[in-house]
Amino acid sequence: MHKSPDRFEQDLERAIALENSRVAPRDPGLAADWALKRELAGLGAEALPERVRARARRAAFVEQRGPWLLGIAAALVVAVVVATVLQSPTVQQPPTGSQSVVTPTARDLAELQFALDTINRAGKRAVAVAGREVQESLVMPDLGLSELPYAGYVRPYFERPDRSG
Amino acid sequence: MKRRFEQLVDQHGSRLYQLARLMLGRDDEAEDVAQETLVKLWRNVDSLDEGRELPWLITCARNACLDILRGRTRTRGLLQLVASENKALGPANDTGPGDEFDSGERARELRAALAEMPEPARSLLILRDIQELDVATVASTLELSENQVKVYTFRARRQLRCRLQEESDAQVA
Repeated sequence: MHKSPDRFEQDLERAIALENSRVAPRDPGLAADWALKRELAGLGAEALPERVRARARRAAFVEQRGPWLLGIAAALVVAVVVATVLQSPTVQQPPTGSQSVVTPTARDLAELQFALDTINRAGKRAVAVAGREVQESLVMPDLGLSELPYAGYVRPYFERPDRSG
Repeated sequence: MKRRFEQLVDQHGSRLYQLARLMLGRDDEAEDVAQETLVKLWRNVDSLDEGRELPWLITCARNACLDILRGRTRTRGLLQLVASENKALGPANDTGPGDEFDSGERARELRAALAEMPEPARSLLILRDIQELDVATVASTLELSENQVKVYTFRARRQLRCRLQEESDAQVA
């Protein structure tokens, strides 16, 4: 758009003449410009859609209230955490090293010995009773020596108390 | 603060939305730009000087539009899509509030041709001829002298007229 100064002055005169003209100029070129100018002016205004206005209001509101809302939310979180910690049951402390060592008393040792002796006696008695009861039910196995060949030679060997020879 | 914000939205909100829609040719993007600009207004409403709000608002909206347009040019496919959407922009295809804005085939042609104009010619035509802002406000917004605004607008209008004539001739041919 940067033309020579003469051209600029010439266009400026035409532009001013066109702006001040209420009727179409006689010059055909200027008359066409004048008509187009009126056409453009006739396009009229457009109303800002209400939804755009509402969205802008909401965005501005959020932007304005944002720090406050963030602060309130942070305060709520802190309050909940503190309340939760305060209401939680007391944690039992683990026993210290000195408390973990058990020193039995003489009475404890006597009771322990008594318990072990009881177990020992009861165990021996249970084995004896069980052996006696089972002995009655035992059946000696039949070796079936009579069916073997040369049983007459073998039998004395098995019936002999001393089998070493 | 809130009261002044609401007053400024009432006074200039529609102008910002129209500027974005004419520059971008898309309702959804125009709405985003308008919203973004209004949120910026909310942030800065206390620091804005009395009477300087409109140039500031137009600058914000226009810069947002130019960012979007620059993004379009980086992607050739998207550019083609936008061009086709610009041509399709009209009462039959637009389900948004722009239905009332569209008044006919000629208006559609004007907006389509306007959307394809280079900057700052497009902004000058929107601000001066369509929104009929005073020269001083436009000069302040676009950082031009008042005479530059007058001359550049005059030239932009001629350029637009040539484009429309070329399109008309091409359709006839």
